[in-house]
Amino acid sequence: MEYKKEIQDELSELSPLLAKMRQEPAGFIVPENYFDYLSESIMEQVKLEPKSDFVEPSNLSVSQPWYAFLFSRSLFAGLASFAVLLVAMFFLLNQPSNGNELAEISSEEAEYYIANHLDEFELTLFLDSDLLGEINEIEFDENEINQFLEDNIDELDAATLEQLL
Amino acid sequence: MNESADTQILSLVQNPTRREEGFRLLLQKYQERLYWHIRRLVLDHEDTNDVLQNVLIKIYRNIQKFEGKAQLYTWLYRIATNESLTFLNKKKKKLAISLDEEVVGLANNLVADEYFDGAQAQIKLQQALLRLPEKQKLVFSLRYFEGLPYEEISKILEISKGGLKASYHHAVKKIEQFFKNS
Repeated sequence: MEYKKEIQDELSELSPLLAKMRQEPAGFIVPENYFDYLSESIMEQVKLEPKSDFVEPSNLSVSQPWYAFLFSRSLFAGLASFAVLLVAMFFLLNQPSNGNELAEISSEEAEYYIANHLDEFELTLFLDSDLLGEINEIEFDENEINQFLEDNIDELDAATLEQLL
Repeated sequence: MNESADTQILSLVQNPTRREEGFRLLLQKYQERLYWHIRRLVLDHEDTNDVLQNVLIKIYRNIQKFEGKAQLYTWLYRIATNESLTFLNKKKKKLAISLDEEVVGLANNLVADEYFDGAQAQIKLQQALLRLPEKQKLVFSLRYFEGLPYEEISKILEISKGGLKASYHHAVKKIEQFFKNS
């Protein structure tokens, strides 16, 4: 081989001593029949290795059917990545809202939400709110009060009724 | 390197039903060359045997991932080089020794090794190699012992050809200086 001569010529130029030494045996010895035993030992070990049916797409040859790709690792890796992306999006969209998002809600939307979820609020929350002031400013017509009492008389206990009257 | 034999090995190992047959061919062609490459780095036969077995099992497990972008033997040498360096670093950490102690220890082991029968000059050469920085030692070993062209060494070690030439020349000069001084 030409490059072997090139290596020897280069070395002769750099160090004649090393060039001469390169021709001599290096002195390393291997046990007798080592390579035969090694082959057999390795073949025994690989027989115990789990069998893999996956085929890399880059190794697909023309003789392999088109559907071999369906069993490739890349396809499974792609599907797994897509699933991870979906889960991440789910958690991102379902994160609890923060103050900034609340500031973007209009007062009409807030009123509508409260009216529909009134049962979920504790009454004490209203004590500090402006709503209480607004309620005090409302002027109730006496006929409306009577009508309300008539409609809800069965649901009011005696103490509440006494307080209202 | 016989590329048609490599193509045959690859087509067999990538066929699930003929994988073992292909791997046996790979062993026949490369196990001895890989052994010598590792032996020149770790020196001791028993250590070489351990590293080589790990290398061959790793090759078997990963050869289906080999895409053929590099030549097969380049890929094999790269695995063997990485495993050898990992082994040497682990050994150094385990023994918690300095570079000088490592050099003296390995050189003494070499003299006492029943599987080493080198002349005094060859022992000296190994002692000089032990004192080289890792990169220079690898480049020197692949060119001087394995007789590989710079292009191939560049692919194995992933170092530019210019950098390799400089490393090799430095290594040769340092070894020669070691001989002159001792």
